[in-house]
Amino acid sequence: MGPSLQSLEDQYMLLTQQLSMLLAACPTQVERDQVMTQYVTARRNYWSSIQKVFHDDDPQVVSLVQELRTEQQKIADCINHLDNIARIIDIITQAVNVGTTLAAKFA
Amino acid sequence: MQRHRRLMAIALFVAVLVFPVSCKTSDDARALAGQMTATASSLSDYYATLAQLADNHAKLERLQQATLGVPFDPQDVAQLQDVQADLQKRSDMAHALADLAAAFSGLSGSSAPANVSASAANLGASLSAIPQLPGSSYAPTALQGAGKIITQLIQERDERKMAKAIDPTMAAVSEMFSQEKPVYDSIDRTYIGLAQSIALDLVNRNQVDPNSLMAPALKPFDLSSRVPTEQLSPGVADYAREQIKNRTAAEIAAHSQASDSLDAALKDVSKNTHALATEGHMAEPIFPITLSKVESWIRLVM
Repeated sequence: MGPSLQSLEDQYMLLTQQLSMLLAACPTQVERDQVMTQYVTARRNYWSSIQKVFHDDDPQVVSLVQELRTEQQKIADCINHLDNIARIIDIITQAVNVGTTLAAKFA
Repeated sequence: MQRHRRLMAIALFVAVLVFPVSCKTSDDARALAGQMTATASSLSDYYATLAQLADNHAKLERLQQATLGVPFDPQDVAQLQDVQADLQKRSDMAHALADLAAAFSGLSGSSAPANVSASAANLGASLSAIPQLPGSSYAPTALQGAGKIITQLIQERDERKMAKAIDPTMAAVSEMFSQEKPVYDSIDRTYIGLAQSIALDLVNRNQVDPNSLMAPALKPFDLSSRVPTEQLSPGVADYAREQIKNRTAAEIAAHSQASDSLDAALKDVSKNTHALATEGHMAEPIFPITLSKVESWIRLVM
């Protein structure tokens, strides 16, 4: 339960802390909507995981947790380059997709 | 006559031998019941507060929708209501356990309270309302009948058998708390994390009245600051951000201490219940449990 839930919490909280800044950096409503969609998905993945229990001993879950951590780092790194919002949205989408796969692994 | 005297002497000897053991058991049972009542009451308050945080989290998400336009659909409301309901079920279970433990302390009295049966039945019903976690060893369904057994033992005034009956329940409650503790800690962190994020955003938008920050200087003179019409000065805005971040850290630390102390208390009560059930008495005296860390956290968030 530990690392898996922690990874989804970290993703939800990282996006929560950066949300206002990310939205401000979006030049159009289309991009704003894309950021919102990924944020809401990360939030739902987190709350879904609260209801269930991870199989931390599942090798696939361990691998997904590692992958999610790498993606989290990518988001944290690119937050300082808000001039390329399209690339940031791609990275966030990729990370949230890994989170969705991880949340689906809950028993 | 001599035979009668000898029988009296034997009876007296047996009574002297048995009496301290019985008294010891009753003292231990009463001390354990006190410990169990305090811990279960505190546990019930803790879960109820955590359930309230889930509700508060929903309000924060609604506020986030109002301030930033983040979607907040019926699906999101239902998700948080489910979490809140699960936490409330745990609070109800702990409340029923506290009621039963209070009845447990009345065991050595002249009559068991009339609500003992109801308390035991409530505990059984509350336990059955909590779904079993996949992969965990505790089984609430197996505990549903515990209430009925405990009621019978209270009527029979058999402390040791009663401790035996409640032993698996106590162990299961303690195990459940330990297993789910990372989830409780996480719920608290995300609640205060979201609140912090919205609060910082409101400071940046000049939507925060810094009156409380000025209070230490103005209160001695019965004065209050006026609502600013212009942008907060950078110094005051920084002070507000600093307070938001400091209180976030303080709240997370307070919750962590509360959940740690409850975890330790539950393990202690479970260990003592098991000792009373198996040994019939305690090897070491039982001291009252103080759960001030739980109370402090509840005061902080409520």
